[in-house]
Amino acid sequence: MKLLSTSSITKKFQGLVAVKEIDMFIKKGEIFGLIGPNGAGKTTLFNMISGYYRPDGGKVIYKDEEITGLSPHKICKRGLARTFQIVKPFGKLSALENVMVGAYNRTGSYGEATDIALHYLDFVGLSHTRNIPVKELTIGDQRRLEMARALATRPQLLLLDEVMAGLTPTEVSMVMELILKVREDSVSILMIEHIMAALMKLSDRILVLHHGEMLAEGTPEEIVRNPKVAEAYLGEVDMFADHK
Amino acid sequence: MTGVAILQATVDGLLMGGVYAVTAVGLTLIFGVMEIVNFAHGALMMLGMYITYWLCTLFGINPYLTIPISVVVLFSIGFLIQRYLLNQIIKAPQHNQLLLTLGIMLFIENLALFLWTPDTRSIQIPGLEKSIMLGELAINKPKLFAFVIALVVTVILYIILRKTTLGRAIRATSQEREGACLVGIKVRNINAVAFGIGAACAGVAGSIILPFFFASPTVGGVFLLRSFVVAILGGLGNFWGALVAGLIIGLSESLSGLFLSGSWNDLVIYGIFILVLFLRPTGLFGGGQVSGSH
Amino acid sequence: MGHTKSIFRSKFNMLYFGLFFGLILVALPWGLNTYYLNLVIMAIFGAYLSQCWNVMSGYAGQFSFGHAVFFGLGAYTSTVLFVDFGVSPWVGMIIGSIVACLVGLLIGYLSFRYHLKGHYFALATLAFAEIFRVIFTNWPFVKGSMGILLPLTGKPTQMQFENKVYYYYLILIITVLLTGFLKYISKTRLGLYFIAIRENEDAADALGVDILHYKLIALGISAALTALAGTFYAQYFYYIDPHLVFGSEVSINAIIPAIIGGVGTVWGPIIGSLVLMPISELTRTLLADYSGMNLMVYGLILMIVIIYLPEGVMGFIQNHFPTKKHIDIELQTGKEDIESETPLN
Repeated sequence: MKLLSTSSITKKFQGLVAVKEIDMFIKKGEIFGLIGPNGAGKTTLFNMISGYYRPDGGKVIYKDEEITGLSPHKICKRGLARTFQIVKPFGKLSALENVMVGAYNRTGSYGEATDIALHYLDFVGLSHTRNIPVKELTIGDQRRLEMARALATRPQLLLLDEVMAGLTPTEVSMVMELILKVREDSVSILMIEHIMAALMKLSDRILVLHHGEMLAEGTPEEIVRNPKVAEAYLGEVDMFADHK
Repeated sequence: MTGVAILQATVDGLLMGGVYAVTAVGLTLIFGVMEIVNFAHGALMMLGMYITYWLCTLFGINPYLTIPISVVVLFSIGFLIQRYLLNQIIKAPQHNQLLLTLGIMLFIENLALFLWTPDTRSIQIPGLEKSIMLGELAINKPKLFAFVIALVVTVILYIILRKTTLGRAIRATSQEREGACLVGIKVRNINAVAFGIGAACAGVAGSIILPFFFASPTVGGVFLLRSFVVAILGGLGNFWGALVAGLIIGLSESLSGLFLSGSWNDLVIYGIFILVLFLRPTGLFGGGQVSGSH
Repeated sequence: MGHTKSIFRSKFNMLYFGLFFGLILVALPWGLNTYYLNLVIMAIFGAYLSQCWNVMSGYAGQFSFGHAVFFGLGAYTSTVLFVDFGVSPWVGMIIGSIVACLVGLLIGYLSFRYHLKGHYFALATLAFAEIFRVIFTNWPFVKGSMGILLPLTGKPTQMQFENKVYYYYLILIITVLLTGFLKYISKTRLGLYFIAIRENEDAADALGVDILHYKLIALGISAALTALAGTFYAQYFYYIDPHLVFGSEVSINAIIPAIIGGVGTVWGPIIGSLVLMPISELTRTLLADYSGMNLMVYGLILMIVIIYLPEGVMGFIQNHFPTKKHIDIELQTGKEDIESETPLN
């Protein structure tokens, strides 16, 4: 079942075409990877799917309903959540309160929101930070907090924007486990990631973007063997490096 | 409404527009480099007025000769304000900077009130009372001088920004603070200099207005809002925009004064302000950098 | 076991303290002479005005530099209705509130719809305040710059009290109610959403918070409440004019106490007003001959606070004395833990 699909989605910025007519879809239960050299249009695509940019052409369909051009909060209400490449914590609030903001998406009750928030804080392993103002947390913790926050809105699809960037190898492993756990919790995932090994291991399917266009699409094995992909990435990243 | 009246209003409007332009250029320079909206700008202009007033009244110096002194004093004040006050909160959220300049404005305005009483002051310059007549058109001499000087100052500023090392440093800092830092530009000092220049612009504006206006501690407030309107209309940070916008606002004010009485005129200006803020906050010409280019 | 006892004791203590303090507040005005009573009323008034501003600018982070708009609309609506149409200011106050709220929603809708933020929004509010000031200065129906003198009737049904003590109770009650309201919403979705919008609008959007909707709510509440202060002012001083109620001094007075006490905190504006009042009076009495010293000192204080104490008094307290109450994480339910000290206070 197609959870999310885009058809011919396009975005231009003052004459520059950042994303050009991308068709893609994500199946329910999938972990879908989105890769491409810097500037390929990955975050732009994310932003269009999550409502931060209005597409200049094409459609976004989520759960069989069109969500093209809807504002972010409306999209969130429909069950699509995201994290940000540069974390956006509510600095002065505690970790628990941060997640509660997400939890309030599904309930208006303080008690319920607290329960949901505690659950997801625990889910990502941050229970011990619940009363700490998040501006005091490490970047790794802030990343996981953002995931908890997004999950608290109870989405069916979670968009992760380079959630592993800048993390230590241990932290990367933790996040990888977390992502699998999220999938087990019936949340599909669309993730942008530069840490190739992690992405290859996690993804069921991958879309490669280059200069805003689709370069290749398929399973990790197919992508790895694709000469066009290797060419695009030449000098950028060693796809075969083993991050343990 | 005779053609002459309209022409007269046009001329007066353009002349005044030059003055608005030079105040706004200072404001826009400050914003372009530091992203600070300087609420104290009007108060600084008021200081320029008083400098000219006292030098003229106490020592009989020709008001136009006091301009260099006004420039130097206001530049120093501006430099110090930035270097020792605003610089402390350079990393703070935007509204804190607004509040700080607000505090500075309150302080300066009321210090002036304390020192010089609320009395309005004006000066009379022999020889400047009569206007130049061009047919039926009366060109008010002080206004004309103000316009010319404003233009000269703007051109000088342009030259500084474009042709000197300092100017390049200022432009670089306004475009890319971190990059500027990396290439060895002392950003802290540049910020202070830029603010000083902005303050000096306000000072010049004050000095050139005094001959045909009056000084009072609270007069800055009126000009402050005008300066904001002009700076935003021209695009915050856009040098030439401020110039053109100054003329536009001067004209609008003058022409609407033909049809509207008293402070209804102000409404036109504020109305323009609101419209610009909503419809085109980046200004008529877009928020350019302080590079002097279009 | 011992821990539960100590919580019980501290809650008990708080109740005692609260009652004691409440008693003082109630009895206070009777022991003061006119001069001090006026001071206290003005201090509470200042706290109230700033608290209204705080709802929108402190909590929801939409800094307004033109709150005089709502103040003036409240003052003029109730006053004109009273003086020209004999409507009781109690009713006029409500109507004034509604008027201010509607105007606020209009301003807000236009501003937020066009994504005005930060200094652009602040300047827009400033412009609106000035526009109204100019309109009212030139509008014969409201007597223009002459202002309106309220008739002295001394009737409580017309919100006039011969004994000033009742003005004290009036302003005290609405301030207490407002503060209580703020304390209450800090535990609700509304309050948390406000803060989320302030802290990071984009993130809040992605979490399902309807930004426009909640900003408007904040603005509407703030506007309506500020209007009440306008009516109070008119009823207390018996005279209003456009400069007094739409002027920038009102907007500035709405902002400064909150900044000093701590923007976005429940007690900030109150503390700020309590700090400013004696300073302001001292300045006035010591330097009575010199006009403007008051504001000059305000400017100085503002500068000092912004540079050295940007989070105000409350911020300083929260940063340096985090509450030790609920650090024990072995309590059964996590919920008790949550009631600990967070910036929502």
